[in-house]
Amino acid sequence: MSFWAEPRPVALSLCLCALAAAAPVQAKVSFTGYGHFLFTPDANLRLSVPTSLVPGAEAGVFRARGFATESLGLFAATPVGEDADFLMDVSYRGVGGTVRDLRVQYAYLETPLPWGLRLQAGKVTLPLGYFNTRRFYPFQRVELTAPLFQSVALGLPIADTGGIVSYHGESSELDLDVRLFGVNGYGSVPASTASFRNPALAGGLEISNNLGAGNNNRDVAVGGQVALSQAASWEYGISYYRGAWDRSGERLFQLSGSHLHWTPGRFDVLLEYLRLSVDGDQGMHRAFDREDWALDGGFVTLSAPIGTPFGRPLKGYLRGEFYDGSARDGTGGHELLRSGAAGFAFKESDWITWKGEYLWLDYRVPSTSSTTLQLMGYVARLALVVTF
Amino acid sequence: MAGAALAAPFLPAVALAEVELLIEFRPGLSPLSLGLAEGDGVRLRRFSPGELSDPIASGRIQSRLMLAEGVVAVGPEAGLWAARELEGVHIHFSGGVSRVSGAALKARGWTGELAVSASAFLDLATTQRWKRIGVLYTSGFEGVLPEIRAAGSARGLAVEAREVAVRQDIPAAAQSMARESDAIWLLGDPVLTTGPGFDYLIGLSLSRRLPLLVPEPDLIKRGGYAAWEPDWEVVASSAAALGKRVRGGLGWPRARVALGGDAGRLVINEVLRRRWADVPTGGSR
Repeated sequence: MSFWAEPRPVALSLCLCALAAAAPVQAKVSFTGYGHFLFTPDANLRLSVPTSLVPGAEAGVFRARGFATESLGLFAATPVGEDADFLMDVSYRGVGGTVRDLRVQYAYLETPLPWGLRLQAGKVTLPLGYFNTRRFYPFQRVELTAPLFQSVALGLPIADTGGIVSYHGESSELDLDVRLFGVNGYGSVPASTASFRNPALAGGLEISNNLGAGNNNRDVAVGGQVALSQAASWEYGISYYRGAWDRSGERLFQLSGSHLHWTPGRFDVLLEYLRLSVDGDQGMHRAFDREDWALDGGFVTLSAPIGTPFGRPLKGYLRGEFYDGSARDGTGGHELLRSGAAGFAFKESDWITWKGEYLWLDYRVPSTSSTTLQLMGYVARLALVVTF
Repeated sequence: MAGAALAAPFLPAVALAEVELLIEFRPGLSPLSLGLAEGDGVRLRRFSPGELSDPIASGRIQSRLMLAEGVVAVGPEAGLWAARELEGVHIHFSGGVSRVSGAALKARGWTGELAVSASAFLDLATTQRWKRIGVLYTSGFEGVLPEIRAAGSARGLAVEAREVAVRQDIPAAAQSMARESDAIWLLGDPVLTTGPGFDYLIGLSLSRRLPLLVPEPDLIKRGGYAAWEPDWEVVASSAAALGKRVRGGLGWPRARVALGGDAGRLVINEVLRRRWADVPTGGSR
């Protein structure tokens, strides 16, 4: 388990105090933050579990209703030089039904380099896709929930320890952003050195826990993003990540993707495509009957203003999501995720937003037999997002 | 604080105090376009629409701006954010000062420019054959009244002003002014331009055919009759020039609030203009 994987309020308090104290005498540390609270009026999920995948698990229909603290975050920022800042986010998150998590989402120094380059060094949010860096926080997006695959399997925000060098160029018509990073990278699942993912319910399918406090091999994961944009009207970018995930540093995990953010008129469209490719994963062998597997798919979100009740903006949105994973040679079964969501966001003030969402999902992971782990159903949610 | 004392020698120095120009991003807006050069001590800090309500971006900008010698906030969004988030730094509001409490302006020693053309409003009055202009103002904005009176007098217009201290004063003050005036000019802070106070004034205006001259074009959609839309490039250039003057040792403007230049355009509520075209306007009728 990583250092930040469990609550350590004393350590975090000391960290924040050190941040405040370490800045030059004349520097100011500004603190801002947010809270994201959920009410689930109704969740209805049917779970089918083959015992070959999850021994002892019980199938059935799960109904839920209740309140939850989805996340609470505190951001700190302080200038530490002529054009350098230190930035940090400490967030509490409720993940699933039982896990409570206090972690540093990011903590890095951002400083200029020669030739117009900039460096972020520390725990940085990786420039993969658009959502990860610019829509992750609930106050940054219209939608109540993040796209399921990215948030549950990849574990948003995708952040790791290392550095990012970035370049921003402008012409009269277009902007160009190039970001290159080197980080520890994803390792194996915490409980096994031979598995990258496991087709099990209790977190095995998530790879967010594979990002540990240190590197599990001598390989440094590298990647980057190139994005072209025009003012606030559109942005197109491609992203790539490559790193060995096993202890010997021989089995590769590659992640590639592209994104298009487009704002025609009053609409806002975000389309992201993602492809994961993994070598030598004994964990998913049980699902795909092969150790080399790949998964690709994406999501599209459309949002637009739909009214101004009480003089305040109300936006509506739709989201569709589809992912398909299988052995790289195309044999065996398929891991499938299909999901759709519709909802609204009402901005009561600059600080308070109310949201509602209806989410439908169908998720299946195969076993080598004819049985499949399947989760299918819907979740209706209301949320309150407060920033300060 | 011992930690700070120990750590300070090992860290790079923070920028010397500068004047920061906080302005919403517009294509073509750059230090060059505003006539700013390195060494002027004036730094341009652009933000994207909606960025200031993002706590991450807001915190980062805040930590920088609180080190500045002063901040010139250009436009309503920048002004509102600066008034809310910044402590211990002089703020000058270039446009959008009507979003800021007049009491805060006075108490904190801030300064501002309304970015409203008095000439345009008074010329409109002349064109419409209004004879008496009532000015409802809030504390902190009284400094521009002599200029308005003088400009009105030069055009043969009578300008009567009445202060509104709190929202509860609005009905009596507005009723009285409606009897004596052909149009009402709202010169003040959110007490007059938001919430039930503004709703009351709009109701009075529509029922009495009494034109309201409002401080921002956005208020036209809510029933205001005329507003001034400043040329924001000119406002930004003036703000940059002010920053340079401050860095040059000339200090901040002495006047708490000023009116602004004549670069821009008058925005008229066309619906009201058409509806009221065949009947004389004015609350005294």
